[in-house]
Amino acid sequence: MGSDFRAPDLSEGDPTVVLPGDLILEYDPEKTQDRIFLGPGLRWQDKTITATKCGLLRKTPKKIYFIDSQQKRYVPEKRDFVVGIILKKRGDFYMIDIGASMAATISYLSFENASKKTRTELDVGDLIYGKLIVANKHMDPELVCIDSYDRAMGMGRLPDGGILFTVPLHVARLLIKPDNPFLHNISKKITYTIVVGLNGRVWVKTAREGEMVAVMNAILLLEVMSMEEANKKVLKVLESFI
Amino acid sequence: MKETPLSTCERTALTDMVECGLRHDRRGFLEARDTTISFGREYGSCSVILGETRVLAQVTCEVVEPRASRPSEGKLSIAVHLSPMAAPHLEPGGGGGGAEVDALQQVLERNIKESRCLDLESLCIRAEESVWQLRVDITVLNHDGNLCDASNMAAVAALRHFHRPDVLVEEDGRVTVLSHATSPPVPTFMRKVPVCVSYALVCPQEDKCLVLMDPTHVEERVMTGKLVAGLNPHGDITSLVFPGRVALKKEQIMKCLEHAFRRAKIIAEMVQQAVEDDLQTRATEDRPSGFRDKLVSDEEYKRQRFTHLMATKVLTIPTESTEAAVPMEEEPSVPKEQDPANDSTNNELVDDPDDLEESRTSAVIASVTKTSKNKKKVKKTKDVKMDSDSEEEQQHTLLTSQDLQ
Amino acid sequence: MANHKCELNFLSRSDGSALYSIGSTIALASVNGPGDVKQSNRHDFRVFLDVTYNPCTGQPMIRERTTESVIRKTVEQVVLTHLYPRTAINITVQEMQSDGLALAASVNAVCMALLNASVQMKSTFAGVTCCLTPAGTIIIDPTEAEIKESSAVATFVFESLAGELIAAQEEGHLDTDTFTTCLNQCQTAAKDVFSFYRRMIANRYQEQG
Repeated sequence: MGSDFRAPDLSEGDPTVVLPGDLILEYDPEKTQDRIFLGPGLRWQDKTITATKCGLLRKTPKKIYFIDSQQKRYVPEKRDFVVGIILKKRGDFYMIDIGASMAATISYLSFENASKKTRTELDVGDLIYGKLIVANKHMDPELVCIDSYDRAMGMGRLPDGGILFTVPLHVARLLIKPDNPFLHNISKKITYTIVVGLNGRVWVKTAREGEMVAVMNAILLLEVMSMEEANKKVLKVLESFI
Repeated sequence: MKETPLSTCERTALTDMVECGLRHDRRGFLEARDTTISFGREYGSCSVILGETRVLAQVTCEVVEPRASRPSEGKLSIAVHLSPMAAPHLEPGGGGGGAEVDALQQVLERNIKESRCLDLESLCIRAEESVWQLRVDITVLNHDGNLCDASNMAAVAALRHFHRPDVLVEEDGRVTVLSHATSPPVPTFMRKVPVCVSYALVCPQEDKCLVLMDPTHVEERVMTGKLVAGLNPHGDITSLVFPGRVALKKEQIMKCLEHAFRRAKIIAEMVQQAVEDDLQTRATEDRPSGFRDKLVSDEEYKRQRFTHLMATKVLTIPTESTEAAVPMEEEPSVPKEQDPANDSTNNELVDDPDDLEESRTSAVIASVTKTSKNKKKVKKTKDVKMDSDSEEEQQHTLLTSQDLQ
Repeated sequence: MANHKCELNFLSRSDGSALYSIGSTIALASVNGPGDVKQSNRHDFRVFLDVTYNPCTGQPMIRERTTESVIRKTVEQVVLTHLYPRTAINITVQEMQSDGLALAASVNAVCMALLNASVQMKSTFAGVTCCLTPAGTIIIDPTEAEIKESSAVATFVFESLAGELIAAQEEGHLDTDTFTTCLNQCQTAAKDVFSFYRRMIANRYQEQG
């Protein structure tokens, strides 16, 4: 009975749809010199690699295997850029909601040009764009707003104004794909600033209120339709607002 | 699970946009979301979808002893259930929601039970011995704001749809409940259709208060106060809840109520129609399929909303926040552009936010010089705003508003 | 199989949800999490699973608690609980319409909702109900009327890796041989359910590219 349920081995072309329990690959590091990397949604046990999530199985040329799945709840991953909301101040740290099961922390020194004398003051309810440097299942996540050279690189407190909304995580990933024309298509109509957190929070700012609603609704299109379809319809949606 | 905190950004963005006359979903201020009522396989099982808010109501009955104080009246109990299914922050196990459940339950009890819209005496089998007890269980499946309206609608539709089994009373007083197969079930008798209409009050500035009908969850989180009116199309107000730190002008409340009565008429008709339609198709069907194939997912709803958005276009949107004070003259003509399926909910969009706003300022003027009229443009509801209670006047209002559109 | 139907992502505010119908039985499942958990429920090395089952009428009673525990035990065996320490996953099931198959429909709805929420699992799972008529024939996915007539009714839950039994609920008299026959027939039926799952998921992901 067993093998009936398992998906056929992955082909190189189109990504295959896998379900939890599907056998991806037999892999025994002692027998082969090939080194592979496992991304989210995959598990190596008893010399086999199986899927633990449903979604599209993807493989990059560098032998990274991962499952591209649709999810709404954020689970912190190291090096993810996220948008957080300041919850409270606790000693030298701010507690930040990033939509995960635990609140993240950030030291007041983890901002550009911050020192003990010139500390960045943040208020409860402020938005912050930062990068996770500690994220694992046993520890509280920690954010920083500087890179390894102490530069802000666009991170830090988000300016006043703008609009915040939530999208599923795969939409957030889709938005920041470099080869994705979607955001460029919107910019044909409206000039805007956008910050996308991998935790599904998107912040948009334009000159006028009406445009913000238009951009928000245009991005929400991606939640219910494919990229190609959304690209075709995005201008229509924007036009209906302006 | 804890609720996601509300950021300052979300709060200011919403109030700023409301000030500009915009809502996140491009609705008019006094426009409700699409409403769908569908019925399950059993009598008295009803699902109401209001935008993305989803409520399931189920009526059950049993034979019980009446209260000693009211020996010839049946009993009616209403229970609201909020679980993490409705929203992740609600606690699992019946008691979730706490204050929210209590508030909801109270509004529903006042509207349906205490208003005596349901004839409890008709539920009597033998005075002092046995009466029917009806129990309405309302489960919120998805919480996207305005639970009051949705639950009220679901409860009323379920009650009107409900048929209790027939009974046989023997000479010695024993009561036998007959199955649906042996004798046709008896419908519940409801004199009036209680309706609940909620408005969110958003105050972008201290002295300025804007009224949003059928608020979504985000709007409810940002609002300073709300006005929940329980009423029926016959002109009775059964409950009025007005919590929050807002001082509304008397005219504004009157205007809301007037609008609420118009909305009540539409909802009452919709509920009655839905119940009748279902009972009719049920009579022809051998085995009703119930909810199967009838329930549309939120995802599908969103998709349809976008299709609908693209098909219509708002004629004017004020572009600068400073323009908010200027009335939007084209606003009332929006419903014309929308597809007929939505017309029922959109037609009553007769006054826009500034209308309400303006009425307040004009009312102040009116108190000084009673005859002064607003010369900027023709307002349809103005002349009746003070005495909105009489039904004739209301119909007049409806007519004129349609004429103008 | 033709009478199975499923809609994913049914509720906008849940992390994962599914409406699953078998015939006229309809169950709605919602999954939230992994999210924060109360101190008292917190486990240091695994997730706290909370399952609530609401019947279509009235308050949950003993029968509903049984269903709840069957679902909880099923989910505990399948979800990779150690991957989400100090968190909670809330599973809420609402019976929308009942026609005898409440348990099977709920189990399947929960599985689809977990898939929709992308909770990491060892495998998928499926519940199948069968009943034995007094004449001795076995009906898979019976209706309520058929169950009332029958001498025994059993629901089996299988996992998808090897099709092994992970939970079962049985009422009425079944001798060992008939029980095995029921089990085997349900196991075969479960295969169809699993391929139905795969079709549903494939449609969803291929649609979205």
